Formats: sequence, C-alpha cells, structure tokens
Amino acid sequence: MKRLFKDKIALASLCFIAVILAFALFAPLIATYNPTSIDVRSVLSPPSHHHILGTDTLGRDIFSRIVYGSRISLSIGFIAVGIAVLIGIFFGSVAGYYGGKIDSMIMRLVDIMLCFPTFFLILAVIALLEPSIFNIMAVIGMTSWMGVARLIRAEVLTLKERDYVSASRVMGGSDAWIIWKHLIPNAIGPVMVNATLGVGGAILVESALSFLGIGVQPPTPSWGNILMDGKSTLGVAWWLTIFPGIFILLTVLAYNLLGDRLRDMLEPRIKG
Amino acid sequence: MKILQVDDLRTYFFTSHGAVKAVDGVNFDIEKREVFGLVGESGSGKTLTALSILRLIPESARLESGKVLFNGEDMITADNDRLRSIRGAKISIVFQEPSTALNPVFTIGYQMTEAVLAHRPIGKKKARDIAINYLGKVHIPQPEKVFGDYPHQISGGAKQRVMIAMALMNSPELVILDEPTTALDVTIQAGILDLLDEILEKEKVSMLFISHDFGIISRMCDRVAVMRKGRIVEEGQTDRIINSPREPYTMSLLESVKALL
Amino acid sequence: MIRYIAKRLAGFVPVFFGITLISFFVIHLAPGKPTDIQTSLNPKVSYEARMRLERLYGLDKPLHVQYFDWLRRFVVFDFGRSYVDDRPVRAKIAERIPITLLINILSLILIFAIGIPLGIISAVRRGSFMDRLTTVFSFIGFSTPEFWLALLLMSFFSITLNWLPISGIKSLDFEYFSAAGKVLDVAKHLVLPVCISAFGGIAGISRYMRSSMVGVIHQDYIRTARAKGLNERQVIYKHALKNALLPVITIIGLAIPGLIGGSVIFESIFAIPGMGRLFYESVMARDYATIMGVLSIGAMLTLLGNLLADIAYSYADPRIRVSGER
Repeated sequence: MKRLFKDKIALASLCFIAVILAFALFAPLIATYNPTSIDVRSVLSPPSHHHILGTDTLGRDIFSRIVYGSRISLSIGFIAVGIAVLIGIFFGSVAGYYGGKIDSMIMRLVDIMLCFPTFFLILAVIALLEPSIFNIMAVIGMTSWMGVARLIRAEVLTLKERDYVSASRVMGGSDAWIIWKHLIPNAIGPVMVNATLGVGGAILVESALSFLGIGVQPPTPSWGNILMDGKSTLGVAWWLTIFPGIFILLTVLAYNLLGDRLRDMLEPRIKG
Repeated sequence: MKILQVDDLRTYFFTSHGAVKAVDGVNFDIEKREVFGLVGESGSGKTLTALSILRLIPESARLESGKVLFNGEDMITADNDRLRSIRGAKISIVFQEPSTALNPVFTIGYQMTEAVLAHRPIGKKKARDIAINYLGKVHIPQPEKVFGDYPHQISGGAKQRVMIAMALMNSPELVILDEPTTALDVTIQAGILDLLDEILEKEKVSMLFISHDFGIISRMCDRVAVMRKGRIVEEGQTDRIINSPREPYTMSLLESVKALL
Repeated sequence: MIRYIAKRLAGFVPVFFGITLISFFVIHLAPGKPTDIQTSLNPKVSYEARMRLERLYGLDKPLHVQYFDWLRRFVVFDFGRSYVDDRPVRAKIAERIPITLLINILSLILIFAIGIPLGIISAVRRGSFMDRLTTVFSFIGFSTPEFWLALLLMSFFSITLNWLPISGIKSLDFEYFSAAGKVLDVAKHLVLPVCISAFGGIAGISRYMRSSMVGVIHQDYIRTARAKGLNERQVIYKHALKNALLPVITIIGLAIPGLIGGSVIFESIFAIPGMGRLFYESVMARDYATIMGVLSIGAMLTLLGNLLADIAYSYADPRIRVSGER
C-alpha cells in the first residue's frame, strides 16, 4: 500500500480520481448553474466568464453538466464493475471448487460470452428493455464478469492443492470455509486490478451508449450525451466536443494507469 | 601453459536493497588440457563466475572489476565482435538446465548449424554434416532424425547431449560446464559423465567444471577451488583437497558427502 | 496438429449452441405486454407488432419447440423479415457485411503493421525515450473514447482541412471515376474509419507485444543463442521474436469481437453502410428481427475468427504442430 503512494503516476491518477469523485459528491456546490436549466439567450456560446466551458444547443452550462455528469459516469462505472465482480466471484469459485462437469460448463459459458461482440449485446439488450440507468449498469456488469471468473477459478484451483487446506481439513474445518478464508487475501489483488481497469472500460461503454442515444437519456447529463450534441455542431461549437471528451479521456486514463501500477506492484519482482 | 587466468574478478548485482557482491575477488588459473573444478553451495557465486568469463551475466548484474585472461587476452575489455568470435568457438559453455536451453521453435539441426555457421561460413550442407557427426559422437541414436526434430521431441538427457555436441562442434579450447548433470535423473547422470570422460580422452579440450557435488568433482576434476559467498576459500589438487582439507568450510562441505565418496 | 484442431473444433460446437441459446434468451427480453409504460424511446408495442413477433418467433408455443424452431432457422440464417422494409434480414445483412469486413480486416492489418514493431522497439530499448513515448501513446490510446476521436479527426481533417470526405464510402460522382479513381475514392473514404478503428488496437497490441518480448528475452535459450556467438540482431530478431509473436496470434481472436462491436460507433458517425450501422438503425427502429440477425451473425463471425486464430497458432507453434516425445 505504501509503495502505491510513492509511485508518482499512481499518485497523480488517484488525485485526479479524487477530484472527479469530489465533483460527483459535491456537485451542487461546485456546479455554477443548474445542469438542466435552459437559457435560450445563450445558446451555443463559447467559454466565457459566465459559462466557463460554454453552453450547448439549449443554452445549458456545459461545466455544470459535466460536473453532474460525473455522478452518472462514476456510479455506473462502480456499480457495473461491482456487479461484474460479484458474478465473477460466484462463477469462478463454483467452477474451481466443484470442478468436473460444473467447471466445464461454466468455462464453456465464459467462452460463449466472450464470443459475443460485447457492444452489440449491450446495445441489443438495452434496446429491448429500456435505457434506464439501472439497466445500463446491469448489462455492462453482466457482460464483463468473465475475467474475474477466470481469476477466481485459478486461485481456487491453486488453493485446493495447497497443503494448508488439507491440514485444516484434518483439523475439522469445512472445505468451503477454508477456501474462502484463504481465497480472499490472495485473490483480492488481481481482482482489484481487474476492477480498476474495469471501471475505465465501463465508463467508455456508458459514454458510447449515451453518445448513440441509447444510454443515459437527456436531460440527465452524462459525458456521453453531451457529446451527442457535439456531433451536430461539429464545425461550429468546438467546446461542446472537446471538453466532455477530455474529461472522459482523463478519467479513464487515470483508472487505467492506476490499474496498471497496481498490477506491476503485485507482480513478484524478477530476481536479479 | 595457462589457458585461463582469472584475476580479482568482481561481479555485483544491483538491487533496490543495495549491491550484492556475488563474485567478490575471485582468482584462479586453468592449465591447458586440465579439468578445473569450482565447487560450492547454491549462491556461492560459481555460476556467475562462469557467466562472467563470457560476459553472459544477467541485466541486473555488472562486471565491477578484474581481469579474465584467455590465452593472455582480457575478455572483460575485449570488444563485442571479438567476444562473439570467441563465444561458441574458442570458449563454449554447457548450461545446467537442458530443457530450457534450446529454443523451442527451431529444430535441433537448425540451432546446431547456426552455431557452426556463425563462425565458419562453410555452407549449410557442410554444417549439417558436422552437426550430424557430432550428434553421433555424443551417442545420440538416429542422428539424422534428431537433426530434424524439435527440442520437445527428445528427452532431457538427449537435450544435454545435444548441448554438449554444440559446445564441441567448433573445436573449442575451453569448455565450461555449469552443473551439467544436476537437472538430470541420477541414472542419466552417469551416462553424461561417461561421455565427458570420453571427450576428454579424444578431444584436446580444457574444462571448467562447476558443481555443488563433491562426488562428481572428485571423479572429473584434476584441481578444484572451493567457493563460498563469492570468494575462493581453498584451492588445490582434488585428491589433496578431499583427503586433507585445510579450511573448516571445506571440511564441512566434505562432511555432507563423506558417505558417498 | 490435426488432432489439436479437431479437439478445438469439437470444443466450438457447444459454443455454437451456447450462442444460439443466449440469443434465444435475449429475444425473450423483447417487451410484449400491451401494458408496457410508454417512453419516448420505447413506444408501446402495438398489437400488430406483437403479432409479428409472435408469428416470427412462435412466442405462444412451448419453449422447447420455440428453441428448436429458432435453431433450425438459425442454421440457415433465416432471421425473418425486417420490420422496417419487410426485406429478408438475411439479405440486408449480406449486403452490409462486405464493407464491415473490409474495414475490420484493413484495421487488423494496420494494428499488426504498426503495433508489433512498436512493441518490439519498446522491448528492445527498454527504458529509452522511444519506449516511454510508446507507452504514453498506448495508454492514451486505450483510454480514448473512439467516438470522440472520430469527431475530432473528422472535424480536423474533413472540415478544417478538407482533405478527406466526411461520410459514406463513395463520393456522389463515383460512377464517373475510372477504375483507379474508384479505388482511390473508396480509399479516401475509408482512411478515417480504419485509422480510428485501429487506434485502440494498436495501443493494446504494442503493450502486449512488448511484454511478450521482454518475457522471452529473459529466457535461457536466448542466453544460449548469445553463448553460441550469434550477433545481437540474430538473437533478437530471430530467436526472441519468433517466440514472442506466438501468443500475439491468439490475441487476434480476442480482438475480433471488439472490432465488430466498435464498428457500430464509427459506422454511425461516418455514415458507412455496414453491419454495425445496420444494427444501430435496427435498434433505433426496434426492428427486432434484424437486431437478432445481426447479433447472431456477429457472434458467429467472432467464432470463425477465433477458429482461424487457433488454426494459425497450431500451425505456428512447433510444439503443437509436431506431436511430442517419441
């Protein structure tokens, strides 16, 4: 843990994430305007004193929309990944623990899920249901659990072989409890890495969905749907395109860098 | 006539915890046609000493100081081209772990002819003949077939014989063997040692033989040096060392093998 | 090798069934209750639409009968008729696939042509300026939202500089071009989509290649190669590279669903008449028949891609191509 703070890049990423988190938590205090209030007089005005990042096609302040949008992006990111991790832990531990046919079936399921172009699947499901925030979280979660499942399964399999499992068994502990107890400290590292990278991925997916109009619906601001306007105003209002995009890029970058650094730290040093 | 003179060799590892003096002032000589042994426990620095001679040390290590004179020429300061012309030709080395020493995606024949052609541009066909010839010398059955095989198709003992063949193909003056039998089955070990005896009789090579096993050392080596923590503790004729060791460390090493000698 | 391929093929059969099952499951998510809440994007499914769905998927029949019907039709790619224009879905997809495939293949070529050398250079010159630069680009590469990049590039190249066309795959006066002119025209239209599609992939592959190379360089057989007296170029570009490239082949398999899925975005932005755009249009129009068709075909394409990658790998790795110890 300490080493994480010594690493400059990880530190920078954490700081940035903290800022965005602050945006999300304290949105009403930080935003300068109500994100949904329409002001026909200042439609499509460039960045200025009044509107730090400009306004959109309905005169809404972009900075405020981005600040409120962070709530959506972050919560979807966290919850979708949370769902994915839970599903992954479930399938992975069942597969590893029971082995045999159940294991094959679950791994087969993983292979199948990996065959679907994820984005297609998500689009299809959202289209068939309605694009509510919960649906989006759920679907992203249900299509990204495979990595975690494999990790957990591998850990459980390794643990099953370990001597201390048989030792505990001799002393009377139940199998499942032992594995669980040893699983958590060992698996938590790689799962954290996976989850961190996953948040970045979820944010990208959500913004893509919102951009296409199938994600978060206006007037609720999401970084993706602010960009939706960007498309139609391409040559005219550069601020509509540049700013939300930069926020997405930096946030996802922060998560990716953090995840990568975490992964490096977990890797045992190659002995010189 | 000394073929190799190692003079105050120091090779250090640089880790985040500071410098590790793995080879810390090592001195020894090897005479022509002599089998010189380097014995010690794991971590004593014997492998690294051998690697230092050919400058094959890992990235995290550095040749700190010292001289390695091969026929009077310092290997430490030799330029890269000169070094390359010596590696595999004048000085060759057989590593400890045969299963990982060969590249899995090239055939054995390819890797052998490569070793020949790197030093003598005599054309593929002649190189192939030499390779097959040496495969025969190391008693590999069906050498033509093995020539076209991939490493995973032959056994560990066979792989080590291939490594020995590769080490001899260019008629080197000095062959370094780093624990050549440690990774092999006991039954296979004897076969390899017999092969090495045979080679010593037929070819005119000097050998630097590294092992942690005094039993093997006593069988193979004329003289031996005992290494501990990067330094040579005692040195002399093998018989003398084994029968009347002077240093306490040597004595304790011998103790553990007494029953087998 | 044959045995390996046969085993993998056998493994694909259950995956195929799994795909059909999951698609089947997805169909049943389609809202059908007349009491559905009406939102601006989810119009109350009219009685007529419901009837069409039922006719198409036989929703009133028992589930296992439905599944077998679905399976039977899946195998011949009969996905019914589009709600939008009543043309067979199969035909609509067929006319869109070539373009999507073309873009994706070009994209893959670009990914490998640029990504692999970048990864190699990074590995060989670890810690150098080049390495760090590449790493920075890689991270930015896979953190950038593709659609944003598309918008930026479009605005820069098409609007500001006017070098490349904004949309479509042919200009209006396409018919009047010579054969070479036609090729050039299509090429101009494809530059941006292919580049954008490849962007993330290049980032990923170069990182992967780098770590593969670094892993290989530390192997014993590389030390042996040096000990034999080979020069650095032979050691790196023959011995190390060949081993490092092997796992990269399997990555193709993993990259394909990403490429196919991503095509939705840039095909929509660039108004390219491909499969991805067809999917998007059907989603917006709630054309369930086409949605299911494209989803299933997409999955099958991925399966095919994985199979090809597997075969390629089994050929390339001698440990699989030639069977083990005699």
